[in-house]
Amino acid sequence: MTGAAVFLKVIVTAAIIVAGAVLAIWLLVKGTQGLIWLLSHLFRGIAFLVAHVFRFVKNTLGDSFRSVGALMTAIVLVPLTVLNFLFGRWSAGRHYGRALEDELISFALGIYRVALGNPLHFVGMGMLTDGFERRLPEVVARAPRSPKARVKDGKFTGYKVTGVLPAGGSGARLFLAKPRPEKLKELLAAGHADPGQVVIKAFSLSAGSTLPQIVRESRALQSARQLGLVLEHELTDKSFHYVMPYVPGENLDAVIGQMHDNAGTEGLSDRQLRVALGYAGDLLYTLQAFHEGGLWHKDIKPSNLIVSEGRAHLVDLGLVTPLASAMTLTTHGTEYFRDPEMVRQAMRGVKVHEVNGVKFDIYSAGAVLYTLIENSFPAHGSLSRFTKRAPEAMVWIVRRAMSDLEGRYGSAHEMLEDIRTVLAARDPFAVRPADLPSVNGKASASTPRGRFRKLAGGAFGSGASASSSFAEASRVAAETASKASLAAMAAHEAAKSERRRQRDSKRFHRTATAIRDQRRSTGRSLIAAFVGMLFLAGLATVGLLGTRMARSSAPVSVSFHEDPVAWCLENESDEPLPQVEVDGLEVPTTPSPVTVARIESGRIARHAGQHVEKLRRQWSRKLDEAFEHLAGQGRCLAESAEEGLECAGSILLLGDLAAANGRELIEALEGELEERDFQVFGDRAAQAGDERDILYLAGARRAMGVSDPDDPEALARLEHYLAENPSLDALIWLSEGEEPDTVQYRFVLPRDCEEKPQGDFALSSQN
Amino acid sequence: MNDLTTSFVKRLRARDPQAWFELWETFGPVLRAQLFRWGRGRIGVETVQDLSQETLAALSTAIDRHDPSRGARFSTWLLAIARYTLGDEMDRRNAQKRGSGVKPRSLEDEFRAASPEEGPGESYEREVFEAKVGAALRAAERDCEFMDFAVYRMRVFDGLTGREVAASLGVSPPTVSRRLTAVRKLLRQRLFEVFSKYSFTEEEMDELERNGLVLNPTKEDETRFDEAVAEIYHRLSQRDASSSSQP
Repeated sequence: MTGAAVFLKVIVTAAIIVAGAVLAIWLLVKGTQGLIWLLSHLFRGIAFLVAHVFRFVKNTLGDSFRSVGALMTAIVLVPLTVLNFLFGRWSAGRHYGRALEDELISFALGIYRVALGNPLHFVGMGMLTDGFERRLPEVVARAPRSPKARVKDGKFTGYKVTGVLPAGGSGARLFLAKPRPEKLKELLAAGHADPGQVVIKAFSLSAGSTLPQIVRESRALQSARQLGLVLEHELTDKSFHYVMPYVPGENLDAVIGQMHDNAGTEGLSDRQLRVALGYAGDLLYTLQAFHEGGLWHKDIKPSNLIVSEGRAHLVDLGLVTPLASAMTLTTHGTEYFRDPEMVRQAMRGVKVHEVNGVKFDIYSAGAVLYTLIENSFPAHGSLSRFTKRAPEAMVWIVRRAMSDLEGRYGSAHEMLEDIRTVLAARDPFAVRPADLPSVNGKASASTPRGRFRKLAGGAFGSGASASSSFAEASRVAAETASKASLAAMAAHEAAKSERRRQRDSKRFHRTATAIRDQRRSTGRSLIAAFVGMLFLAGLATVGLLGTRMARSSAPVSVSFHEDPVAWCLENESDEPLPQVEVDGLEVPTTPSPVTVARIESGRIARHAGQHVEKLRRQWSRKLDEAFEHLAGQGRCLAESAEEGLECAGSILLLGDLAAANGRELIEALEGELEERDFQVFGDRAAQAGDERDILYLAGARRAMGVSDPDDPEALARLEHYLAENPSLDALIWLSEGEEPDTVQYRFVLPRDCEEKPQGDFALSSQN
Repeated sequence: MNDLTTSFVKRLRARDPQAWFELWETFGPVLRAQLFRWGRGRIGVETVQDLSQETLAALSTAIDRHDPSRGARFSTWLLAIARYTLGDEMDRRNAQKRGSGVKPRSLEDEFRAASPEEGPGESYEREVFEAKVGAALRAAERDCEFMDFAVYRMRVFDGLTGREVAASLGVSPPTVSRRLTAVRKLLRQRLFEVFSKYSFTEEEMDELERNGLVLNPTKEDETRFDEAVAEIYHRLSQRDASSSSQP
């Protein structure tokens, strides 16, 4: 063996020894790390289990003792209650009776927790009892109570009291009542709509109300009557009451809670955000009427908003103040929804007419919108942080509404315009603050102040009197509002599309990078796990089991193999749709054949530079076929012009097209529809539209959420939207086709279409 | 003690409602958080609210006897009064339960033993410091243009780049830069005022620089200043979020 060979052998041997030693050390380190990790998690798990058992035992013992204590107290209270009643001490008897009731409830709750609540929590099924423990008591607390033994019938002339509502903090009692026939006639004669049921807010000095409370409530009454918020009132030496239309429904606080319960941890879904914006729109529309009528609500908060039939109604006139009042400003209101600046001003002792109450109401409206997004109150005013997802423009609106007096919106109308713009956008997340009318200076002029605009049926009216609603606002505002918002939207349309495309591209890039990183990270983890397994086979088995468990609990994305709408069109049967629930909202699982047939779709080819006339001929052919087809099915779009109407019907165009050729295509369709005497709204090619375009679009976008035309839930919601808006007869949704140079279109007709008289026009499926 | 502190204490002694509201607005949340920590499990949110108001009421009587030149920190003084108020409340409750004859000192010891902190703990001091920064932020927001503060908020709190802010608001990047500088300058002024107002010792004034909020900055300090403000803002609002979700 030569010297070189020996040297080489030594080198190789040394290298192997060193490599072996390094590998052994590395394995030892990794193995030790794995062991430590496993032991630490094991101890944590044991500690958690011990704490869990201890908590269970503690709660069970505590509840048991509480129940026994409550029972013993109840036993003592029984003779006291009975004896007081026997001796005719009714007031004391009622007092002891209430105490007895509390003790019995406490006893029952303790028994329930020991027998059911705690064991279920112990085995991790606490969610089962959530309804009993949280929602049920809330519902029971809100339920109208029987007025028997509380109100003598005939106490309120002309009304039959049917229930008692939970009282607020104003010292008044709230009664639910129905107007008697003669009173109803009086109300109708006075120009009020039939209120159905009414709420009577009653103050009585003998029942504990104070004179300042009565004075405060009565000072804005005349204005409130002119607005239709109050039907009538009566003031005597000892009592005072006023009558308002009753709005059945849940308060916004509860609705917000439900929305967030159904939403993910990251916040409201796109659809829910649109609904939230709609509620804010309803509130601002009502506020606009208040301010125009010279009134300041002063106590806007979610619990003073009642959601009825999908619309938010502002209630509680307890703090309503005339804007021009000469009284001293007070700090009344609710913390976090009341502008701190108002408190500061009140501390200075200023008069009401020296401050701008409108701006304080706007602050509260911003706080309500914040609560809608965050499910929590804004603890730091405009400095409050947003932790849940929300469009940038929506966040901007909240901050602007809650900013300093100088920077705040000048009127509810100005804020409403911004909200409408976000609502009308195809993708609210694509709207920049710079696109909002209040920022780009294209807001339409506010309606003049100091003029009464009656809320027909009242903002507190029943669901049928929806004039205070945002949807109805569309029709009313159309008469007065300018066209600036539409022009602003049209001008930004092209820029928005481009931005959207860029954003999508960025998003895709980010997602791809994240997936690649995740894969790399997973790869490294697998190598480490493999080494760990070699070193400690037993531990590896545990680790493997853990990994499998982790994988099984990872969220699974669901995809559908069938195109639901195509499926519907092909299968006009009662078989269920492949998709059942989206965002916690009910989706019809069994589409009726009628529903399916109302949604017609097709494709149209288009090419760059194509002449509008040529496109019109294509549209004409498609529309002819569609009308013939529907006429054959005995269904209609609207009465024909031949029957003496001004137009054949109103159609809303919803254009989700790229800016490139979309305009010519829409222009052609618009021209063809107008040729056929249809009135066209929505995404029109012509820039000169009126505000109804934006308002109808906002309503439709709010109804559909950010969905594509293949989503049957979105289509079903659009049907409902059309059914709720008799001014619209149909909707045509244009979107990019799957194949190049094609555009997909869908006709949506309202749900109650078959109840209308048959007409000349009909739609058919196109392909 | 500086002029601002002296004049503020004078206003408090003169029962100026605005001065008291300022004090309440700034330290109310800190007091509530501290009382909640002390009384955890024994007093509810409503009681905490009541006690924090009672603390300020007690402060209004103590302010006449207080001598700020002794050099005690404002926060320590406030905490002592809050503790006294809570001790009274626990005393009253126990006396109600047992009939009578319970000595206040024993209750004081009991609730102190239940508290994990003996004196004004680190977290309390941090909360006081952050409350002062929060007050300065509110004052700066009040005193500058809405658009200026919006630019600062997006750039510093939301972490957008200057170009993104400019695109979002439809303004040019130099405008963003100009507005940022203006807000920074105003914020520094407000920080100085707020800390001067509520600081009885030099040590309290030094807290600003120790936390990266340099009042006489070099160019490099600007970024540190923004980062420090953003960090405090996020901590502040995070705590608000957790306290707002308390039952």
